[in-house]
Amino acid sequence: MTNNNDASFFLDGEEIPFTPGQSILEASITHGSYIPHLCFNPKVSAHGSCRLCIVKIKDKITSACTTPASAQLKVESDIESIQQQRLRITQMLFVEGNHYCPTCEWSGNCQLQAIAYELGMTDNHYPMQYPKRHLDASHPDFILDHDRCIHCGLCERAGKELDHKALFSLSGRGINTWLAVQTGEEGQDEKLKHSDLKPEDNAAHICPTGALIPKKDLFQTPIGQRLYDNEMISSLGNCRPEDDT
Amino acid sequence: MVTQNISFQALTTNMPEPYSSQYQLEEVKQLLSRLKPSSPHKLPSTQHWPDCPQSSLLQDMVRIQHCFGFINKETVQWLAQAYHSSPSKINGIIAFYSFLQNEYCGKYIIHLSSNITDEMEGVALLFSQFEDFFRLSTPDLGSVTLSACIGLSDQGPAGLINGYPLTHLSAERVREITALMQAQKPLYEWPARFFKVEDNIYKRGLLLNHQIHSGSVLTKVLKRYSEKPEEFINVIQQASLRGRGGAGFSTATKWQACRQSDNQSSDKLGTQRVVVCNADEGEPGTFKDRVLLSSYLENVIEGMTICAFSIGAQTGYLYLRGEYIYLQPLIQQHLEQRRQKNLLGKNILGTLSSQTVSFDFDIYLHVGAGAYICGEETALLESLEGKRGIPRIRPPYPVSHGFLQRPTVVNNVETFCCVTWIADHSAEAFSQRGNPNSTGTKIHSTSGDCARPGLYELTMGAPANTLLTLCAAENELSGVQAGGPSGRFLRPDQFDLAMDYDAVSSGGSFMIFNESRALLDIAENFTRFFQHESCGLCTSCRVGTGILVKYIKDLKASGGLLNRASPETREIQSLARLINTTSHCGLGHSAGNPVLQHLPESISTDSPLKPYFNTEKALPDFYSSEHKKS
Repeated sequence: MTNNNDASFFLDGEEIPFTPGQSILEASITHGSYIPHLCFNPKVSAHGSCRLCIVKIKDKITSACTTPASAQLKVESDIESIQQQRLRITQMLFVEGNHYCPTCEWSGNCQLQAIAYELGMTDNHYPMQYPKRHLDASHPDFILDHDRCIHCGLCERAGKELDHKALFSLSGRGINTWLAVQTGEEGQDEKLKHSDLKPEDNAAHICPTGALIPKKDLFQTPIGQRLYDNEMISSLGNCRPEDDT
Repeated sequence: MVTQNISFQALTTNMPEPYSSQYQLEEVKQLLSRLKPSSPHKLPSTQHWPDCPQSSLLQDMVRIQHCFGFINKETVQWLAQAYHSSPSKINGIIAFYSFLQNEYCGKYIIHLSSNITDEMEGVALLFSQFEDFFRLSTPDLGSVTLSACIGLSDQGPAGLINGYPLTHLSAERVREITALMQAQKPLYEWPARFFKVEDNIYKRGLLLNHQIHSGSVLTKVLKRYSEKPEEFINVIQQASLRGRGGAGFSTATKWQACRQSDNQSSDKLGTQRVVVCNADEGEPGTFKDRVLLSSYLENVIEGMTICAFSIGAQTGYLYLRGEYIYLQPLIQQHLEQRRQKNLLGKNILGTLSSQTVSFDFDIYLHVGAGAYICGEETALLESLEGKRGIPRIRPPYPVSHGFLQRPTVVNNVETFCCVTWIADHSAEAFSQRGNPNSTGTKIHSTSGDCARPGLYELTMGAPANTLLTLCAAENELSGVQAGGPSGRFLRPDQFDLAMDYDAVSSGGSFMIFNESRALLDIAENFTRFFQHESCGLCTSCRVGTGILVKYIKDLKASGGLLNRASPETREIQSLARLINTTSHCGLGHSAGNPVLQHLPESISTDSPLKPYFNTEKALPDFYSSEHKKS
């Protein structure tokens, strides 16, 4: 190994180099190694909310996106107990919202769906909660379907940190948390059309699920030929169709 | 036995009129502008929060809620403009805190404590009594909701009405209260006994015997350490003091790390250090901080000031839980008195005529609004900054990146009282009590099935047995919950375990259950509490706690008959373990505890199985009711 031992750790035995300040997840993504995750994107700060990137370090379970990488750390990720817990957490995300993959425009491009494939999810396991949420199609360019929102806060952080504007904010508490659209002084109806969301904003192209997706052209690529239809997310990584172009 | 009571005078000052469904924005502006920072009976004014306008926004909201009963649409719009925020953001914050509302809930807003001890005392019946009354009375007269523990477990069933405490509720008392509401009488015309809150101290140790004069201990410390304030940290080190909030972190280590952090605040003011007193006493069954804040406030504030002096902090915040908003006039008055005596402010005590050192420090009161999670120190800091109380990612830790990213020490109310005691006496005298790993004394808030619920200050390491004898607990017990829902359930054969940081670590809640209490009920109550208080950040806790509650309900509905190997038993335990191991913060890490601790107990072979549906009991009732029908 050519790496300086001081600046690398081991992910399931594989040596991963890191730069000081990087989290385990960030360093792994940079190196091209996959740890399942949804609420993390290297472009913005970590959130620690989806819990899919849990890993085992010295018998302790922690999230890879919030744990700083340190030299010689032995990190276990692709082991049965952890994968089983990830599966349960994914199932929680599915029962919490209303995820109707067969009719969803984003099917095949959705990272939540892709992770379910990856973990071999075949049922919901937990009782469905069927929350009453609404669909916001008021914006000329984007659809915001709260049914599919997993409260990962990526759009909020992308808006704040990359676009430098307040577009979204996670609101409320507990299971009643919702993604509020920031509408400035326009009105209180929290409609996307009243927000400052523009097609070129990073916040508009970061959603891991089908909650915030572009209008028009949605079926240009037919279902069956989309990102995760024929390739696992572990080899493709977390991406969106527009990332390629 | 001596008990001190919170003076009713202090309590009733500024009790608002019954709320009205409409108020003008002008009234809000008047209310906010009338409140000078020095006004003893009010929340801190905007001027006290120059660094953090959003903090001030949350405090304004708490104040408006307290005085008007809800924050109306017009006010939300106005606040959004005044604070360069947006209405949707403000509504998102309102929805986070249990006590903030953006819709009118009636002239009288009642929160009944739904802690397990209140449930055991029959709060459910009182709740329906109120509910029936409101349903049949004039529309919009009032509303009643069940809330988490409000820190009055020793005098329950208890509740809050428009922010003021109601203790020892009974069917009779509720009838009197509903009559007063029917007549729409303002609270200040109600009988004082309704609001009587007692200290109920039954065993005093170091802290509860420690009466001091304003500034006496601070003067000692300033005299001795004025040239080298940091040396006082060594004294705390020698006393081996550990945090009293539950986690038990070394106080001296925390202070040292904060003092050594030179993290610069973003506003280019250099290193601004902060002391925060965590008075968000939310663990169900705990009420010691309420008593310390009402009868030992001098000791708390003195401890905060000494901490500030030794770590070099300029600002202090006392984060008071919203449930204790009635203590706010008392605390404000006290802080103002200390400012007048130069125990707070610029060049405190002339910093004893030192030419070189000037100790500047002031303390501001921040009132929360009903969120257990804000007892977690990083969530508390978020809330202090006026945001939703979502726990931060650690590292970095508050000692280097705390309030507004400034180096911050967050300590529990009782810890600051210990600091004052140590400073007044000596580290040796303190560390002589208890054992090397757990020095000093611990105040236990005792409630449940005992004759004398209240405060007991015992030497660290005293076993549960000692406490049970002192409080005259009932003879046949099924167990004791030490440390609240997130703590540990002790069976009778574990009552001789030491209550210290090694064996049974506890933040001070001690709830006693007699043998008639069904463990599954306790597990359900505690799990429901975690579900209600989950902040909603991470998947496992946000979704998992709700499913866990559903599982327990299903289990009870099915008759509660379990055996160890049944798939239901394994599934419910595996979910509890999943929440405990994969959650983001301490709340989630203990949210599975009630199920993991009480479920095996209720199915263990050595204790008799207590089915929920008792056929023998139920049949005579059934036959008699059938008989009546025919």
